[in-house]
Amino acid sequence: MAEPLLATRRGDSSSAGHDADPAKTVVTTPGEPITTTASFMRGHGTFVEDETVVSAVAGVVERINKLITVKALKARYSGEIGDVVVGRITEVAQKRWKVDVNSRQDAVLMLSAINLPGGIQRRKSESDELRMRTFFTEGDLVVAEIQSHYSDGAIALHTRSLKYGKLRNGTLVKIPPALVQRSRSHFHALPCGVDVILGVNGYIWVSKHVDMETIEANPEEIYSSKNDRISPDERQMIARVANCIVALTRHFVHIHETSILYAYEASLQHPIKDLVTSDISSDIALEVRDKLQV
Amino acid sequence: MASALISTAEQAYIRQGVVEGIRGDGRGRADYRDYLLSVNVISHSSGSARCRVGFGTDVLVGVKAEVAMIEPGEAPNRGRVQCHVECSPSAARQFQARLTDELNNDLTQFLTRALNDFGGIDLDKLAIIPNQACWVLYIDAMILDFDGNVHDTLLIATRAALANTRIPKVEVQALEDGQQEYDVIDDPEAATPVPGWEDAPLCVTLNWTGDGYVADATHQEELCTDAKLMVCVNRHGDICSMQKSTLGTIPQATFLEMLENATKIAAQIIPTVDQRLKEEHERTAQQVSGGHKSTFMTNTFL
Repeated sequence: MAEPLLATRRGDSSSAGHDADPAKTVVTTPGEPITTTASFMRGHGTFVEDETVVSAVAGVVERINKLITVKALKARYSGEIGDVVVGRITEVAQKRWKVDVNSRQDAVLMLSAINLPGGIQRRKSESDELRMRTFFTEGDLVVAEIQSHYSDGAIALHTRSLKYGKLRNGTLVKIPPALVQRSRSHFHALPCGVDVILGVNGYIWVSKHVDMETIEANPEEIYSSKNDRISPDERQMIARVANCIVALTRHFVHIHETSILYAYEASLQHPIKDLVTSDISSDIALEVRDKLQV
Repeated sequence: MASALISTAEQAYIRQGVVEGIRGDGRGRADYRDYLLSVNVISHSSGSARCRVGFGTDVLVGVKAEVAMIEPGEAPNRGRVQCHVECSPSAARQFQARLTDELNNDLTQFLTRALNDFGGIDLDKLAIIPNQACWVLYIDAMILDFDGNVHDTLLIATRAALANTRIPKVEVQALEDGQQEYDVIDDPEAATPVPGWEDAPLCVTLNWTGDGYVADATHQEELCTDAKLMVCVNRHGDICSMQKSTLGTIPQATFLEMLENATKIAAQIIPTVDQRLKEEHERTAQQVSGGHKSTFMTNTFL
């Protein structure tokens, strides 16, 4: 049997000496030895010193057979094809937009990769190029899908679906990308009348609920920057959900539909603005953790 | 990392929220975010503090008391306070390279103005020998992270650092020829607090968005702000200094209302900050007697 990972020993004394349980998370800090066994290979986030594999970042140890990597808790987002991301337009350039997606470099959204109003499959003309700012302008938030990677590592996005496009009627919450897991759906309509888009890049859009039928009925509105009317109740709901996400993030709870729902239920007994204070956020996070384990 | 861009839809959402009194994080117009305060965070300073508002803006302040010569032409019987504020380039995207120079200057000026003249600190008591020597308090602040409302955070941290500062005792001896000589005594027990730190002001920044104003704005809210009014208020409710920044205008009637409200808000936060400061000092005192140095990480969210 392989020698146990050193870092496991510090945590739970009862499980010391067993690294067989892959579900056991091992948290390391930079410079912390992970294992001394020479048969392991060092992966991302680690380095070797005096034949010991040492963590280079603060994060969680992951082991795939002989390869040891440390996934950093706070790292920039590295995209994978098919990911749903929320991003902010930073620059309008030749036939493309530059989009901040919390990655190492800005992603690229080509003019040819968006749905133009009117004809779904029409050719992009020069006049479209001149009207680019009417579609997306600097500062606009978009939800998009990763289409491919460029050779330099930059991400290419597309918004060729009615699900994707410009965002309005809500507020952006930024969290570490490690807390959003890839799942079947990243668009959630919560029962409290709030829509949540979980960008895999850690940008989360919380907004008032809009029916898919309404969007399909008004395709010319997809590039609108004007908010619908939002009632005070709806506004409070949005604020509550946004604060629930922040509260969970403070305690490193994964953000998905279920955890948000549990946090929302747990939050109802508190005023919205108190949800992000250290006491109440830890109460909520603990409650959510308990429920998730059941 | 905060980017300095915001979409029109977000702006409209935030502005409407200000009008309705329901902000993006559920706060009302005058509500402050939760903050963390630690003192005695830098061992080689005379006093230090760190304040973190919400999960964002993070300010570290160190105070160093040094004896300096009084040059001819300066006030003969006064000490001095010298401030310097610097933004860490890693705090926000707009803090990169030389872009911060203007902001650093602005914050330094602001802090200098807040602490001199009506800043509470009794500068006369900082004099040692008239026309010769006085204490100079070097106040150095570092903005480590940024999510709006730097000015208020800066003054909370500075006031806490001043409360934490101990100035060594000096003994003045008269020499035979009528001259005087001073001796700085190293004994930490004999060191005294900064005279008048209790009267140092806190700042209440009100952000005017065109239809209303909010206190303790986040970075996003600041991007929707037309005009900012920074009001420094001390614990007696006196306005010590004020400053307006950014290009927008504030209607005259609202301006007076804002001043009045700033004083009211200050009257609420100063006692809570002082209470927090007292607890924090007791905590550090325990730790020091137990042989531990206070570290900020012991009570952060992480």
